[in-house]
Amino acid sequence: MGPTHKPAPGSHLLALADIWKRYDATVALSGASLEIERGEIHALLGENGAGKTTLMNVLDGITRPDSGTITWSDTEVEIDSPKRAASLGIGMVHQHDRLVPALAVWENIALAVGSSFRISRNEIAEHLTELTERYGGVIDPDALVSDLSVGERQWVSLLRALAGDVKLLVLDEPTSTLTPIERDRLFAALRHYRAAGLSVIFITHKLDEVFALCDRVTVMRGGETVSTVDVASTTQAQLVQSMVGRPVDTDFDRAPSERGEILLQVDSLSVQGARQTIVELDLEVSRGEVVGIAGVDGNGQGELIEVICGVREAAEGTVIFGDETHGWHHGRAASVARIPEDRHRHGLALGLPLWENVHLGRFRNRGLVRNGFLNRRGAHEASEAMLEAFDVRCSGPDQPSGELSGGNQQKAVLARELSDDPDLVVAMNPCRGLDIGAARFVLDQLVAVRDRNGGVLFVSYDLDEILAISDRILVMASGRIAGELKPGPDVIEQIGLLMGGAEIGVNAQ
Amino acid sequence: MSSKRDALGLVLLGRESFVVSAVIILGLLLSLVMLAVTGADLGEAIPALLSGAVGDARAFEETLHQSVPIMFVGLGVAIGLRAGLFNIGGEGQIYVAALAGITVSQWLPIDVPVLAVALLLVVGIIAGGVWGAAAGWMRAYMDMNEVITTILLNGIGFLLASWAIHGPLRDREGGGFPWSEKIGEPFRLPVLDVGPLTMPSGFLLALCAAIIVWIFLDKTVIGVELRTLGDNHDAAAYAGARVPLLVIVAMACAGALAGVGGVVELSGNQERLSDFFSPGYGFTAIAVALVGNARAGGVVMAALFFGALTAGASSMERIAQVPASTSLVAQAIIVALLVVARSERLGRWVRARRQLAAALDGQVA
Amino acid sequence: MDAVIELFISTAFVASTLRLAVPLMLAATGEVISERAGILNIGLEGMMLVGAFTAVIGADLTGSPWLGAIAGAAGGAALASIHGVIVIRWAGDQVVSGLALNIGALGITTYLSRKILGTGQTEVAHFEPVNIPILSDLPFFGPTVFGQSPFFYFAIAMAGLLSWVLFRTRLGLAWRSAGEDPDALDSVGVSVARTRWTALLVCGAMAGLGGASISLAQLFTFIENMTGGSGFIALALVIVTRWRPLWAVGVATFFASADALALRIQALDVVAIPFQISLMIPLVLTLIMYGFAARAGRSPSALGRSWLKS
Repeated sequence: MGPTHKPAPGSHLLALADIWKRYDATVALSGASLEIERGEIHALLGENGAGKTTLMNVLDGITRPDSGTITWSDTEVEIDSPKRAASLGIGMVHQHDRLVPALAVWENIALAVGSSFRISRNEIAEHLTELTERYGGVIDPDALVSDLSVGERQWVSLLRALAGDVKLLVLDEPTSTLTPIERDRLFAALRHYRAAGLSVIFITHKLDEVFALCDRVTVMRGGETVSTVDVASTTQAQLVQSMVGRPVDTDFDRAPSERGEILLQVDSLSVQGARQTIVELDLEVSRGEVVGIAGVDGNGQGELIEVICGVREAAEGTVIFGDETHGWHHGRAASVARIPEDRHRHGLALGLPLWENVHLGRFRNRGLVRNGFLNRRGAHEASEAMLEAFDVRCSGPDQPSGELSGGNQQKAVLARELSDDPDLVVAMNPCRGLDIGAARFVLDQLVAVRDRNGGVLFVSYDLDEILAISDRILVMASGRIAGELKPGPDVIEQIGLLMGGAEIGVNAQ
Repeated sequence: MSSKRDALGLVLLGRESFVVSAVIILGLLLSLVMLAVTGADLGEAIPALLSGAVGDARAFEETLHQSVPIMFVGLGVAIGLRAGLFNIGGEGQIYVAALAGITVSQWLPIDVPVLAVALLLVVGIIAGGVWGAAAGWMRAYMDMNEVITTILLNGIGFLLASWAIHGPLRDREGGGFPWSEKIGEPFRLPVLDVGPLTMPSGFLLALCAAIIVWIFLDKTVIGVELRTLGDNHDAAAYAGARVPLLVIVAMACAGALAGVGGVVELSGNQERLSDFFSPGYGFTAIAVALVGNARAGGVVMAALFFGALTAGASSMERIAQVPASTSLVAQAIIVALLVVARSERLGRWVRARRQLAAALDGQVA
Repeated sequence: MDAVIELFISTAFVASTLRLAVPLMLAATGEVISERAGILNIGLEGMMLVGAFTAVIGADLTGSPWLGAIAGAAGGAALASIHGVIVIRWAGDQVVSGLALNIGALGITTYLSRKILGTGQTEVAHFEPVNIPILSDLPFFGPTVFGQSPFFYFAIAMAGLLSWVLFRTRLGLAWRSAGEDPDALDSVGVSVARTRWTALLVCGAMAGLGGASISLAQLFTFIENMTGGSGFIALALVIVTRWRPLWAVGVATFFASADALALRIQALDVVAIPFQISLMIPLVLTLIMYGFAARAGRSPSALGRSWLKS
């Protein structure tokens, strides 16, 4: 728990104390706290799921806490809406910008600033010029937001936040999509801001930035505030330790992997994604191994998996399965299993019963079709066996899949994808949102594939999972493979550094 | 097995049927209120309505007659809805199919009744299917919203038929009325005597169609693919279905069913084609499909209900001078209430109440 | 050859073009606003019909066509508010709600018109063409173009006004945001519901006036189902206008000219086309125009998706 001393009057701009938030069974925040002084840049550090975003949602009035207090300029306040937060002087720049893509830059700014009935493009363009003169950057006010690069959009969001009368600026992972030059410009702007006596909350996972820019840092883990220290008096290693915390549960008893033939080969892949561009990426997955891709959300993992699964087109490069070249356009190779990131959008038809979902797209492969007619009895029986084998808790194969819990839905997807003993499994965040038991089950299944000489490409934003089952770990950052590691002591630190932008080991650059 | 129950729409104890029943009752009540408020004599109107619908064997036959076309078209709309598509083109498909039907019957005046009727049905399927597939193609390949295209096709289809009625098909000895000749004897669908009742054979055909639709949607691979498409567009594409083809197939099936409805109405009820051949069957069929929750069994029951409503309303107009357009108002109110009943906000409210109840019962894991 | 020239270059042709264009202009402009804000309004036809009806009732009761027109606008807006309750307040399916409103509008206007107006056709106080001074004295088309009913001038003026509001005011900005990305609009603290309501009510009023223009300035009475599908045509035309109010004027006029042409061909018996076929021409034309526009254009991203604050 962080320090809970009473703030000296006049020094704290903002104090969040003892904030609790539950969502049904999950505890997102358990007594988190944060104190921000005037004229400081304060880093908020933590892994995905540590509670940073939830805490900021409380601050921005999007989420109401179950308990806890918010003190602003020594007065206790309640923030019940973004408007209230804005009226206090809190400006949020979200990780995924809240701009309207189809509108121009000046129109997006007008949306958040001012209250006149008529809006004047020239007035706002002037205002914008003032801001860019003070903080840097060149933005064409008439450009459509959809035509801007991700970095430029971030910049526009920042300028918009600065355009009002803001005393506290909150930036959520602002640099994950910026080029080095853009990042430097941002830092210069923030220092300028601090010099004027204003404050910044800088949410990040990148350690080098914490040291380059921030005065103090608060580390969160598991919904709690772990520590708050001066940046000058700590080290990267100490911060990583606070972030990741407990030792990893590595009781996955596995024989050392024996790599066999190559099942998946990705060569020089370049992809233009909405959030991240992938540039000349190579990777390989062979039989008998689990390749884990570690990295923070937003560094291209989603785009990579979409290309491999044939849902997205690549600009250049090839994806080769076994000995079939699919270019980047692969159909449904029967022996490739895909466990998608968002089981609702890509995996299951929620209104349909389980037995139909479990054979979706595979009726013919499994011999369950005769002259266009379903062999319903056969499919039903087969589904019973499959649901049983994958421990899907349900009232029967006829139950609509939408009624199942998240964990059981994911198990159903596993049942569909893994029942045919596929050679290669591509899984993206398969354990997201699952409780410990269900997550463990999923991981066991993936290891089982590897143990019977299949190959697994496993992407996860959760480091623990990666460490638990991977034979090789690739770290992905900014659309590239930043490095390849083998599990072992100290690997956590190395991963953290790679994720944070440092480059060591193989595939550097 | 629950899928059987679901497919037959006889979920008497399930929540959906309760909602639909409540909506229907509420809709009827509101319509009666509207009648009362505008000065209609409910004491005359209601008995007239009821007697016109189920009062005697004749009324019952009329109810069945009215339910036949909307059952066919409603089944078509239902297939579309299950695939996530709106077929509003029932009107046009009916006219085009009936036009094709009467034309072919004049070109090929077959003598044998069974063959004649079979030919007629085939023509109806093809004509309606083509008309529906056109809209499907426009949706699949031109990204043209099928609601707008089917409505425009309605107009075109109707005008095509109207031209023929006033022109080449016109009945010379018809006493100057703009209608076609009667369709040939062998092509007509007889009315059957079933005990004390008289039942149009078209009704039996409609029931067969309902069974076929049920089998198609539930028991074939294409049916699964269509239903997946309607449930989750991405999952269907992901599962390897060829989405544009599915869209065209779904709309073609919808059109084909409407087409059969058109020819059955031609040969089993009206026997001629005229400008007033379809008094809005295409639109009533939408209400039928919605009330029936796009399930074959539900459509059958909804078609009977709306058929009774229509039969009763015209009797109400004859006897109590209450305009029959009241039934349109009732339809509209029922559909509007259904939209609210199935709306997102209501769904959230219900889920929230359920969670609250579960939480109050004890900790939910 | 002379006949062909007579077809186009005639005041009668221009007059009927402009006359037919007015209801489409009004309805399409209104629908542009509604769709810009994300609300799909299939019930446009019904709103026009109700507007036509209430306009006649209003004119009949008050003896003034102007009050009748206001009644028409109010009638359209009233039907629109039912749509609003269903799709904004309750976030129900926009398409089905619109369809139900069309059927309901047909039913209730038929029912009430028989009750109130009887089955005959009573003529009511109506609009005479208004000649704009000076301009209507211009040679050739002066009297025709500048001697239209007040609805014509109003339609053009409103298209201009709404265009200005849409692109140059905060309200219009909110409308466009609500139709593109309601979450983004919500995140800056603007009420998406209230924004969509204003757009929908504007659309309803305009549609009602469109109907009123048919009943008070063309036919001078109410006939059952008198809008005859113009609401649906307007819906398709909106896509061709690329959701710009000023374009609605041009697109509606172009379409109406094809319609007027079909009627002229009929009237002049230039070519022996049966009248149903000539009635088909506008519909086929609409399909073709829609086809081109659907490929090229981009509709508001959030159009038709009902939204609830999460």
